[in-house]
Amino acid sequence: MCVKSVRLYRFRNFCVEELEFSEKENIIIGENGFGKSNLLEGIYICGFGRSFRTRAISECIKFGEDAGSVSLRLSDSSSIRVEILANSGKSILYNGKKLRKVSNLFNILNIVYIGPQEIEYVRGAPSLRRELMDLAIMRREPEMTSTITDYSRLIRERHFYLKKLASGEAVGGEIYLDALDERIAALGGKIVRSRLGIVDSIKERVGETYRRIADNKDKVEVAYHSSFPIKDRENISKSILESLYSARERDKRYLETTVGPHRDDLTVKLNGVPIREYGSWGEMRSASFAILLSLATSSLEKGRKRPVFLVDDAFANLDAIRRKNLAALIRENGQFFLTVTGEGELGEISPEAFVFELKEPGRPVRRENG
Amino acid sequence: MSAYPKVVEEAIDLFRRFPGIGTKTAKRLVLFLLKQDKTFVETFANKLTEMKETVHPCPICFNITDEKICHICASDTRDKTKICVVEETGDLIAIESTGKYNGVYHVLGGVISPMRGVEPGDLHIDELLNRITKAEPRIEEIIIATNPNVEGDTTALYLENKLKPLGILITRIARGLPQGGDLKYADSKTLAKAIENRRPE
Ligand SMILES: Nc1ncnc2c1ncn2[C@@H]1O[C@H](COP(=O)(O)OP(=O)(O)O)[C@@H](O)[C@H]1O
Ligand SMILES: [Mg+2]
Ligand SMILES: [Zn+2]
Repeated sequence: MCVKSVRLYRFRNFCVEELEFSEKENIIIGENGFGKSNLLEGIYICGFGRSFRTRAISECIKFGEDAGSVSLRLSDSSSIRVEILANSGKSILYNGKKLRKVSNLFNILNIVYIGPQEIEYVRGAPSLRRELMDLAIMRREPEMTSTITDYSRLIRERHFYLKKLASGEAVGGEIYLDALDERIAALGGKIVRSRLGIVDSIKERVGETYRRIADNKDKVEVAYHSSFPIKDRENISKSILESLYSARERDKRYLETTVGPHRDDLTVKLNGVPIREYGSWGEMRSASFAILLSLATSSLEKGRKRPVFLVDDAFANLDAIRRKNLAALIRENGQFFLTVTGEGELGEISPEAFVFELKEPGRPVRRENG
Repeated sequence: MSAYPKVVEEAIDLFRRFPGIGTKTAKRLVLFLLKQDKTFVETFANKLTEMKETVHPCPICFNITDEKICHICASDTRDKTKICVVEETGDLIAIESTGKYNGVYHVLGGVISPMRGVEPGDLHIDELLNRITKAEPRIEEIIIATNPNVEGDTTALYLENKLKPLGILITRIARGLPQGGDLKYADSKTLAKAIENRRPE
């Protein structure tokens, strides 16, 4: 599925009627602050129901207005529309009908945003990598969505209960903790099993993709790192439960749940050593790209949709070879949106690409015969 | 500055405390009441007071009643050896409407959720244990019918762990109900099936 056109109404600094896109490649050129990221943000919001830069989606409404919207027309003639209101949040419509769950969007469009901060997927905190794996799970196994949200609720309940226990006010004693642990282990086991499935399905691809980007013999490996010993892949819940029991006294002191999938990680190694600690900036970026691309294209993806890549200023500062290889990879695998500040960053432009120029803020114009 | 007189604003705030009522609906309801004639509003206010004065929890099962004990506990034809444990009166009513259950009930008064400040001690769990140990004739089955969601499932497990030492058959109404759902909104057929297909834990 790809994006045929967008309409931005009172969205950020935009107000455009209908912008038609190429199903293959779209390049958006404009000076800093002219609205390149805003345009990608509009598309992103239709894929995720939220923005990549703010939690308060109402910030997307054009200054001085009290409502705005983004509408996408997709290649199968369906449409997604997100209406944003200043004080009552947003509503999401698919083919004109209101969507009840935001997560239903994840299976319509397979949007992959790659921005300047995406290096954090490799360099940053483990929570980012967990989010990445969980999003992939929600896309492949939508029925897991409630398990994932229920699990984090259980962890929060446990945190509050541990605090109660510590203050000596807890009437339920350890019996309620037993109940929580049993549920945490049951749901946690399912989550870890799905994450292992994800990691298995991208393992080889990450290595291959990295090699293609870097154009060398470096070896990147990803592996699931659990906060508890997995004795039997068929019965992960049992391992979690045992670890929760042995961690209980420690947890009661720290008022935290110190084991479980919310403490797990995806480790990334370059030639056998953790890339987070030893990798260069460009290596970490390339590894991030390799992981994001592999997740988006891995064949395990049920009812897999061709990805839509939103690449926002993300090529800047990469060497020319990596830039060229990456562009080729993205072109092969999905619809490609790329923002740049000048032609210099581009290299050769494919004759099929649509080039949009922002000569002034908020007004993209498609370049003739571009 | 509010556009409404102070008393109207206060009435709106009161309506907003109702579950599922936001500011918009609260305003609509208050403006509706303002338009009604005095008798209607008086009857309405009196009815609320009367209801509060006469309706209270049944001392045995915590169902609501305006009698000394509720009509289910008072009945001679109900099977007193089976107790179905529910979260709220609304769940009890949903199960009653299936016509497929002839035992008695125990209303917990909510679910355990430390996050929302609800602990086992805030629910009628001790009363349930007391009721079971003192029951004559002996209780033969406890059917746990909490809602199939995070808190409902954890509360059910807690109850099971608490009740296990008593050596009574504990069952859970079957999982035919959609996860994350609510008994009150399940259709009567699905609910009847879930009760029939209950399973020992
Ligand atoms: N809600 C809004 N209404 C109008 N303009 C906005 C709004 N939010 C941001 N902008 C403007 O958008 C510009 C930033 O656009 P952006 O897409 O980030 O630029 P870039 O082309 O560098 O990616 C800034 O000039 C900012 O003032
Ligand atoms: Mg930008
Ligand atoms: Zn009663």
